Amino acid sequence: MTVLQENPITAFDREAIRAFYDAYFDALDEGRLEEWPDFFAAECRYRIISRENFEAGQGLCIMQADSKGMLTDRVRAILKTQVYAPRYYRRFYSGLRVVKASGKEWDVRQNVLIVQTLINKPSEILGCGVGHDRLVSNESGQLKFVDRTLILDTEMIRNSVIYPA
Amino acid sequence: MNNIAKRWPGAGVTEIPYWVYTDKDVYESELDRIWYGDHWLYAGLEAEVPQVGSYRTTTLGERQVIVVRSAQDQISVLENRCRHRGVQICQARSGKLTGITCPYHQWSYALDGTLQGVPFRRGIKGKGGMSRDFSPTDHGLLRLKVEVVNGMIWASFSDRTPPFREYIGDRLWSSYERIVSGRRLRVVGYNRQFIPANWKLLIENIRDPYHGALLHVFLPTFGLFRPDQASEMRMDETGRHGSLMSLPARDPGAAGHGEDITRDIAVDASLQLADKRLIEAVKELKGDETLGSCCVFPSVILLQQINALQVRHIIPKGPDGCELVWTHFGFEEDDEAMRQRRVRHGNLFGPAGLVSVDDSEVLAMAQRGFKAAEEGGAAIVQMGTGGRETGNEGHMATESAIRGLYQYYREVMGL
Amino acid sequence: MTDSEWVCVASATELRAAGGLLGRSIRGVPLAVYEVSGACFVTSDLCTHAQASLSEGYLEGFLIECPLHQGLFDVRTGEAKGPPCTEPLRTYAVRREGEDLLVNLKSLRESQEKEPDST
Repeated sequence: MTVLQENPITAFDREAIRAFYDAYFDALDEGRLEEWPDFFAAECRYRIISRENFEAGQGLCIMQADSKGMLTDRVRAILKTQVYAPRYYRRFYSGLRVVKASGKEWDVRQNVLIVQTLINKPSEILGCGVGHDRLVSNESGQLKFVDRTLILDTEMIRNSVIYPA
Repeated sequence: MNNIAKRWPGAGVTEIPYWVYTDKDVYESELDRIWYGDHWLYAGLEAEVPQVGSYRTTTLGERQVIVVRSAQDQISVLENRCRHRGVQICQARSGKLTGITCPYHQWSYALDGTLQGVPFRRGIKGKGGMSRDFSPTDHGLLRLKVEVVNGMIWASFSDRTPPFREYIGDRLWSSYERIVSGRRLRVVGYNRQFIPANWKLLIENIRDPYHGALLHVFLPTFGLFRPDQASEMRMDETGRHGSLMSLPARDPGAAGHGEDITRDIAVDASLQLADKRLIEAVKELKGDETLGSCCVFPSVILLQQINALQVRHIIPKGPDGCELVWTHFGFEEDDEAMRQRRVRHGNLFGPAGLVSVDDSEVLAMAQRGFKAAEEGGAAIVQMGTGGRETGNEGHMATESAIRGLYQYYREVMGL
Repeated sequence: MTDSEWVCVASATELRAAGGLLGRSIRGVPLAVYEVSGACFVTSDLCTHAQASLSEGYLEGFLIECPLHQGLFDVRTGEAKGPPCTEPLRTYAVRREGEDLLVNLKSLRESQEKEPDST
């Protein structure tokens, strides 16, 4: 799957991409939801979608946005309007791999595990899946998502998915 | 008779004892009298099994079935269990078959469940085999009664269940037909969640207009729903089925097909969505309702909200939990803009739904409340004029449809 | 070898002793040999529906029932007569010389060319 021979990726780029994901998951794990839309380009797409729908080519998602505005609307709803029992999410990513690199655009994949902890309950796996992402480097040299698609193997959700991943 | 030792206090339905939601014997009796009794259960959409041999597996009550197009104009719903040694035959969620063959001993059934092949039925070189009087016709897969109505597949474990049109009744037929009018459907996708709450709480919730603007803060905040807008809560004659329809606060009938039906209902100009496309909807069904639901007891809620058309399929999992499987659909003629709209509107529903999360989380809180309650505790259902209401309720300050539901429930359960 | 060559597949005595139904492999081709009311027939031994040997099946009149799924074929013509079988069986010309039942080599060879997997 590696395309290093065709599209070499420098060690510098690889470190920048890794630092980007570390920062992304840190912001989410620490509950700094207001920062979440800043990881995205102005024109972007975000999806959490079941593997069932993704593989069948069906469009319905668990969580979806096709503009940065919709991301901020989702944050506002999570913080201000939705009703849910309090909980923590902690996200673990691994197997970070650049599957395609061209100019200032990188297609990146990674496995993701989301662990949820409700009050007085043991921690449990909320979902596991794979991210299919596209990053770009903007004029300021910052990495941003133009597409983040998290495909969940976990099709039967333990009640709710509140926070993004 | 049932095995339930408990007695419902009093003759009315203004109080629902908590044990109705938590008792194991009550649950077992519900399976028997309701799910496997004279009721229609939702088994899928015709559009999901387009060709002869196309199949999906699903659960009706707690029983696993195969829904298969067994001939050009025939849908069969068969219990997913070999009549030989009880093996659950189909393990995949969907696919295409030429026949149904059990992996253990290769017993083979035709697509309509007829037993066709029993390997070595005659023995091997005259030794062994089944006895001469073994009759394959007596050992086919269990076949459920099936009716396909406007593209929705209904199945029943009982032969005595009346025709679907009679079952749903005249009062609710229009709310059913409004959404599935006979146009060819197209699946937009599925979402699935396990809700740790009794299945009846979902049925109550969709016929509880009282909570609409109070729990779902998203709706009045962003102008999608107001407590004072015109709504109608309607039950069938038995009280078991219910439909809730809600109109925006503007002249009914004013919108033409394809026009935006949400533009006039914002409550406060400062509370705007950053991207209004999240809820912008166009008229595509009869009437200007932004919400139209049809709950067909016990297994399903057919619902339209803005341009999200959906089937919510309830699968009970003991008294303390149920699975909710969402099938979002559109029409074959949807253009790209409508397809995108339906995906965006999907954000309001399902396990991350901007509206639905409130329901599934609050129902889980209710179940936790019941489980921790004292002996003899009960919920009170007293909003709206008392007793059983089966006429139009044109306002939201009522729980009469919940009382209607439990009126029926007490009858069918013998409680 | 000429097209007029015939090869022995079984004796009439052993066929009768086997209840009128035998399986034989001749030149790598699996065959089923039948006797019904004194007449003999030969077909491919492999059911056209699934991996099963018809000679392990059940013969009633001119119909051979596959042991696996009870599909039916007419042994005279090879025609599929009962579900789930739909594709016909290959049949072979057979001749009796004294006690020997002979099958025509040409028709055997043709079947080998068409179905190399059966060798």
